[in-house]
Amino acid sequence: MRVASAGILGAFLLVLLAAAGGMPAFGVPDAPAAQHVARYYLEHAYHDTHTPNVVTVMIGDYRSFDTLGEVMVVFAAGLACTLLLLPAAGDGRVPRVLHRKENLIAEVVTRLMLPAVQIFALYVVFHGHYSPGGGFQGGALLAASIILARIVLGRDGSQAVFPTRLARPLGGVGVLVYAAIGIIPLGAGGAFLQYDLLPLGMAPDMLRNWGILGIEIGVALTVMGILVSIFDDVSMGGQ
Amino acid sequence: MIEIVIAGLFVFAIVIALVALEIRDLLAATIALSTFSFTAALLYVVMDAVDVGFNEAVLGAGVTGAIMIMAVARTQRRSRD
Repeated sequence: MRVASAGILGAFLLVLLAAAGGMPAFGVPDAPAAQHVARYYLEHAYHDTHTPNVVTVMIGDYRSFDTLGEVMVVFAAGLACTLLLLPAAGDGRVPRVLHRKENLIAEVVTRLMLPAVQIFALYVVFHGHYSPGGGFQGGALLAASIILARIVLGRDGSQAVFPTRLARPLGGVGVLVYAAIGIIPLGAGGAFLQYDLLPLGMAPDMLRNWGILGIEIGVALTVMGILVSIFDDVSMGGQ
Repeated sequence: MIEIVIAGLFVFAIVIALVALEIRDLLAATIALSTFSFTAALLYVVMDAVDVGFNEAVLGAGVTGAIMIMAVARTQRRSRD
C-alpha cells in the first residue's frame, strides 16, 4: 500500500515536472496571466483610487465582492469550530496549559511585546494602502498578540487583554461593517460596494480610497475575532 | 546565487513537510509544520508576493501552530496510526 501510494505520487511528480517546462518564466511581462485585466489594473489603479499599493486596490476595490465572500467564509469557519467544539466543554476546568505560568521573564517580555505588536498591527491595517499588509494581515497580528497573552498570562489573566465572550460578536461586527459599506451606495442608485457613491462629500478617487480603508477595518475585526474564537474553542471547549 | 537559495528553500520545504507527515510525536509534527509555513513565507517574499508571505508568516507559522499545540495539549501527544 505504501509502495503503491509512493509510486502514484512519484508518477504525478514526474508529470508535474514535465509540465513545468512549458510554463512561462517567472515574472516575464508577456505571460498569459499578465495580458488582459492585469494590465488595466496596473495602469488605472492609482488614478482610480489614489492608492499606490495595487494589491490592496485589487483585494479591496476591484474584487471587493470576492473579499466579502472570503470574510464570510472566515466567519462561517469560526462558527463551525464553535459548533463542533461546544460538546467538548467537559468538566469546566481550565486546562493546565492555560494556567498562568509563574515565569517572570516570559511575563515581562510578553507585557512589553503586546503593545508593540498591537501598534504594529494597527499600522499594518491603516498603512495597507502604501505598504504590504491590510486587514487580513493586521487582524492576524492582533489575534496573534492576544493568543500570546492567553498562553503566557493564562486564561483568567488575559481576559483583561481581550475577553473570550467578545471574540465571536467581533467577528460578526466585522462582516456587518463590510456589508454596510457595500449597501450604502445602493441608496444612491449605485452598485453593491461602489465606493465612489459613499455620502462623504469627496472626490471619487478619495472616496474609493476611504472605502478600501473601511472594508479593511471590517476584515481586520473579523479575522481577529474569529482567530481568537477558534483558539479559545480549541483550548477551552467553548466555555 | 539567488537561484541556489531558492532551490535550497524548496528542498527544505519538501523535506520538512515529509517530516511533519511521518513523525509520530504530534508536538514535533506541529513544529515541523510551522517551520514549513515559515519556509513557504520566505519563498513568497523571494517571489515578490510580500502580502501573501506576511499572511503565511503570521497565520501559518504563528497562530496555526499555537492552535494545534493547544489541541495536542488537550488530547494526546502520540499519533496512533
